[in-house]
Amino acid sequence: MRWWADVRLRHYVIRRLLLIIPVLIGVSMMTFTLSHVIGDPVAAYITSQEVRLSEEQLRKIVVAHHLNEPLYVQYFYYISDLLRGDWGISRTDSDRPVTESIQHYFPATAELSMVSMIFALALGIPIGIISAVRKDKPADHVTRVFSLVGVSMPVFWLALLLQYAFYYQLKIHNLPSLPSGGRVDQFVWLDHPLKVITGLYTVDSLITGNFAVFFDVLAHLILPGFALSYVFMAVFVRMMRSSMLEVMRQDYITLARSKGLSERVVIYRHALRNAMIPTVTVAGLAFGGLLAGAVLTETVFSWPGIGRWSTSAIVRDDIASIMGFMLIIAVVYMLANLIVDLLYAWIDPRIRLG
Amino acid sequence: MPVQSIFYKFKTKAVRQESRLELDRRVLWLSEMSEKKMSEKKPSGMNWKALAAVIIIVIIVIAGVGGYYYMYLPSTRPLVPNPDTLVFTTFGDVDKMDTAVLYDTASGEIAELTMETLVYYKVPGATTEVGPKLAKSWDVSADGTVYTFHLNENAKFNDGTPVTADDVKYSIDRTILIGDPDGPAPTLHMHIKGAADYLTCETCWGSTNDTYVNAYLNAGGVKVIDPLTVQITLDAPYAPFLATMAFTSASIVNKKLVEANGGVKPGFYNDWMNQHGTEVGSGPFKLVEWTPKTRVVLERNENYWGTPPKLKRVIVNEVDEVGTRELALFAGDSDVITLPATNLFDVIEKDPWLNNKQIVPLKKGLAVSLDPGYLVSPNFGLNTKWKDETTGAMPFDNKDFRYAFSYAFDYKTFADSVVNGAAIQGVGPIPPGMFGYDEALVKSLQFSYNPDKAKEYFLKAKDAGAYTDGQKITLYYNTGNEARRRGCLLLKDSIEKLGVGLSIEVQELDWPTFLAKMRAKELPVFFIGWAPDFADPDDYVPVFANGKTGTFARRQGFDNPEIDAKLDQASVESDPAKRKALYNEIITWLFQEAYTIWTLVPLNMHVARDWVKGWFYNPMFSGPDITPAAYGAYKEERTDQVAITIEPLALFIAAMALPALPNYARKSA
Repeated sequence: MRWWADVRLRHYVIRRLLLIIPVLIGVSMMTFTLSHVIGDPVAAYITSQEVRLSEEQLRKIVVAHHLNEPLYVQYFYYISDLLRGDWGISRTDSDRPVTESIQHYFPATAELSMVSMIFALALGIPIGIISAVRKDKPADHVTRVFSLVGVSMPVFWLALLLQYAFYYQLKIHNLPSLPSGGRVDQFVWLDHPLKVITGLYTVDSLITGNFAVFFDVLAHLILPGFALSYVFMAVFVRMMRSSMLEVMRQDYITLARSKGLSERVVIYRHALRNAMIPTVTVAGLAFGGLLAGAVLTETVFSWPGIGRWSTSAIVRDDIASIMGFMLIIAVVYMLANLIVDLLYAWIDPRIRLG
Repeated sequence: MPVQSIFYKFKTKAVRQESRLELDRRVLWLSEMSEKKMSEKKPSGMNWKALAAVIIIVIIVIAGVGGYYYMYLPSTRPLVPNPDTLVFTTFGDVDKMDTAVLYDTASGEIAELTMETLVYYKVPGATTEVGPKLAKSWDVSADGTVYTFHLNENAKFNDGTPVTADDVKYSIDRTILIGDPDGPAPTLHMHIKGAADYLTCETCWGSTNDTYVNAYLNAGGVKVIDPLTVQITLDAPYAPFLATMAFTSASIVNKKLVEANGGVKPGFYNDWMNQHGTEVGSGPFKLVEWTPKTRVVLERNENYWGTPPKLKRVIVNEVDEVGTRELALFAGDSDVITLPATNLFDVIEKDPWLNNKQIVPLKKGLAVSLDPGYLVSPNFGLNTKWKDETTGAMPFDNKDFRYAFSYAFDYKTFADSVVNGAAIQGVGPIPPGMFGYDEALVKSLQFSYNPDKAKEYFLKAKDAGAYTDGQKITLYYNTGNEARRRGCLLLKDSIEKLGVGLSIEVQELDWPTFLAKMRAKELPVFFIGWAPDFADPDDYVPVFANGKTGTFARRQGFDNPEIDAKLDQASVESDPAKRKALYNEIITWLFQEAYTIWTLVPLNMHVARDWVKGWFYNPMFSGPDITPAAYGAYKEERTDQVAITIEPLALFIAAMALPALPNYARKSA
C-alpha cells in the first residue's frame, strides 16, 4: 500500500471527500427546485380513491408543510429536516420513512450490482485481451459477435431468455435449475431465518454462518447478475480490445518482446496495466449507474431493488422518495468517481495528483 | 539481463551511439523473429493444455450425467411441490395492513385470510347473501335502525383470548375515529349513528378534534350490552348495512394487542398497525412475514376457533413481470398466478374461446376459469355541462348526440381485441348476479354498435344546433392504461369514419391530474371504472345516477331530483321487491338518457394448477384467487414417475460444457 503512504494522495482523497459536501448542497437545491417544478406537491395527497379532502383540508396540508412560504424558506425547512435524518415519508412504500426504504432497497441493488460488476470484469477483460491478442483470428470474431450481441440485445429480453433456458426448461425436465427471481427462496428463507445486518444477504449469511441461505442467495444472484452484466461485459470487451491493440503497438512492448520475455509476461505485466485505464473509467461510471438501480432487470427478476422503488415513486409523484433517491445516487456517483481516480494512481504510477 | 546495464558498459559518446545503433538492430531483429515465431503455425499434435481442457470437459460431462441419473431417475417423486403451502404469485404490493385504513385489493386479500368480521357472505359459493361469522345471530329493530349482534362464545383471537363485545366496539370505533378520508370509513360507515358528523368534519384528519371525537362517542352508535352482545344504532334505516359490516374495514381487532402497540389516535394512522395490522385478528391464518416488493407469508392460526384450513401456509409473492409469473406457474413453483386478460391466450386456446366461449387449457395441468366479476369498468362518462370555449357549443347536453355516441361504440370489437373476449357488454351500473340486476330489462335497453343509427343521431343533433362542423372533442383516459387507450382510439375511429363533421382527439392524463380535472368538470368525456366496496346496488347506482353526490354523476352535470329521491328511498327500503322495482326505474332512466356509455363488465380470470382443489369464486372477495384457502381449498398430493427424455440430457450437457469453452479456447491458444 505504498500509494496510501503518499501524503499528497491522502490530502487529495480528503479534499475529494470534502468536495462531496458542496455537490450535495447543489444536488439538494436542484432536486428541491425540480420537485416544485414538476407538479403541485399537494397532488400526492390525491390518490386513487375518490378524494374526500375539502378545500379546507387541502389548505391545512399546505400550511402544515409550509408550502405557502417562499421557496428559500421551504428549502431551509427541507435541509434542516434532512440533517436531522427526517427524509420524509415514502408514500409508494406503505408510508415508511424514506431512510428506511433506502435501507431496505439499496443493499439489494448494491449486492446485485457488485455481482454483475464482478461478472462483467472477470469475463469482459480476459475476453477483450484474447480478442486483441488474437486479432482477426476465429477467437476474435467470436468475441466480437458476442460483444455486439451484448450491446444490442435489450436486457429484459436476455433476462427472459435466461429464465426460459436455465429456470423453466431445466425445471420441467427435472434437472437442477437456477431460480427465476427474488433474492432468496421462500422455503429456504422460512426454514433458515436470516438475521439481516448489512442488508447484503451474502455477507449477512456468512457472518451468521447461515450457509443454506448463503448458497441459495448465490444461486439467486447468477441469472440477474449475468443478465445485468452482459451489456457492460460487451462494452468492456470492446474497450479492452481497442486499448490493448493500441498499447501493443507501442515501442515498449516491442522492447519487452525483444528482451525475450514470454508473450504472457508481455501481455499481463507490460501491456495490461496501461490498457486497463479506459476500462476502469467506464467500469467506475457503469458501477455508479448500476447502483442507481436497473429497473428492467429488477422487474423481470422480481428483485426488490432501489430501481423499482424509485420508478414507482416517480410514477406516483412521490416527491419525498424521489428526492431521497436522487441524493443517494449523487453520493454514490461521487464515490464511484473518486474510487476510479484512485485506481488510476494505483494502476499507473505515472499518473500524479494535481 | 536488464536492458539498462548494457549502457554502462560503454563510456564514450561515440561508442555509446554506435552501441545504440547496434542495439536498435538487435531489437529489430528480435522483434522480427518474435513476430515470425508468433505467426508461425504451431507444430501439429495436441499440446498438453488442450488435452487437459478436454479431460476437464469430459469429467464435467460424466459427473453431470452421472449425477443426473443418480439423483433423479430411480425415484418416484412427489409431483406437487410443497403440498401444504399455497403459492400465489401476483403483482403490486400490499399498501397497508391496518384494516381500519386499507382500501386496495392487494391488502384486502391478506385481511380476508387473517381478519374476521361480525357477519360475512355465506361462502363457499358465489353468493352475496350475508350470514353469521363472529356474530352467531342478530336482531333488527322494527324501524330498521338498531342491530343487536350476539357473538359466538367460541370465537377467539389468534393469541387465544376470546372475542368480546368490547373488542367489537373498540374495532368499529377505531375505524371511524381514524377516519382516513382516503380509506374505507367514509364510504362504508357513514350510517352508524354519529359517524357522519365525524367523517365529514374537516378538522378531524391530521389532527385530533376532541369535540367531534366526544360527540361521536356520546352518540352511542356502538354499544356494549354484555360481553357477548353488541348493539349498533344507525341514523336511519339503511338496507345494505349488513353488507357494509362484511367489508374488511369492519374487521374485529384484538383490543389488548392494539392498545399495547400505539392504541387509537383519532385522525392519525397507527404506524405499527399499518405494518402489523393483520396479526391481531381472529382469522384462519396469521401474518408471519411481510417483505415489501417481495412477499407476504401467512401461516395457519393453530388457535383458530372455526373449521381449521387445510393448508398450513399461504405465500403471496410479488413478481411484476407477467412472463416470469407464467414460467413459475408452468414450472409448478406457483400454484396460482394473476394474469391480465391480454395474456389470456398464453394459457387457453384462442379459437374455442372467441368462437364458443369454451375454455381449453394450452398446457396439461392448468386450470383456468372465467367468471363475471362485480367490476363496472370502464365507462365513458359524458359531461353534459361541458362547453367548448371557442364555439360555445354544449354538445353533450343534446340527448341525440349522447345516443349517437352510445351507438358509435363497437362493444364486441372492444371486448374481443382489448381483453380477448374476457368480458361481456356493459349492463349499466348493477353487475350481473347482484341483487337488483334484471337481465331482461337490461337486454331491452342496451345499445348496440350501429354506425347507421349513430350517423342518423349525429345529424339530428347537428340540425338541432348541438354542434357545428369541425367540432373538436377530446376523450380522456389515465396514463398507462393500455386497454382504455385502445377503447378511446376505437371510439375515435368509428366516429370519424361516419363523416359527421366531428374531430375526436385522445388524450392521456396522469391519475391525480385526471381525477382533479374530472372533479373540476373540465373533461368532456372521461373513461373510468368503478370497483365495489360492498355487494349492494347502493354502492353502484348512486355513483352514476345521483347528480348531487354520485362520484361520476355530479361530474356529468345532470341532476334529477326525482331520481335522487328514488335512490334515497331504495337505500332504506326493506322490501326487496319494492327495492328492485325502484332500481329498475332508475336503470331504465339511466339508459334512456345515455349519460354514460357502458362498455363492458370484465370477467374475473382465475389461473391455477389443477392440483389446487376446493377453489370457488365469489365476486366479493378482494383476493378471489386465494381467499378460498380460508374455506377449505387445498393442494392435492400426487406422485408421478419421472420420464426419461433425451433433450434435457443434451441441454444439461451443453449447459455444463458452455462455461468451459472459452477456457478451452484460451488454453489451447
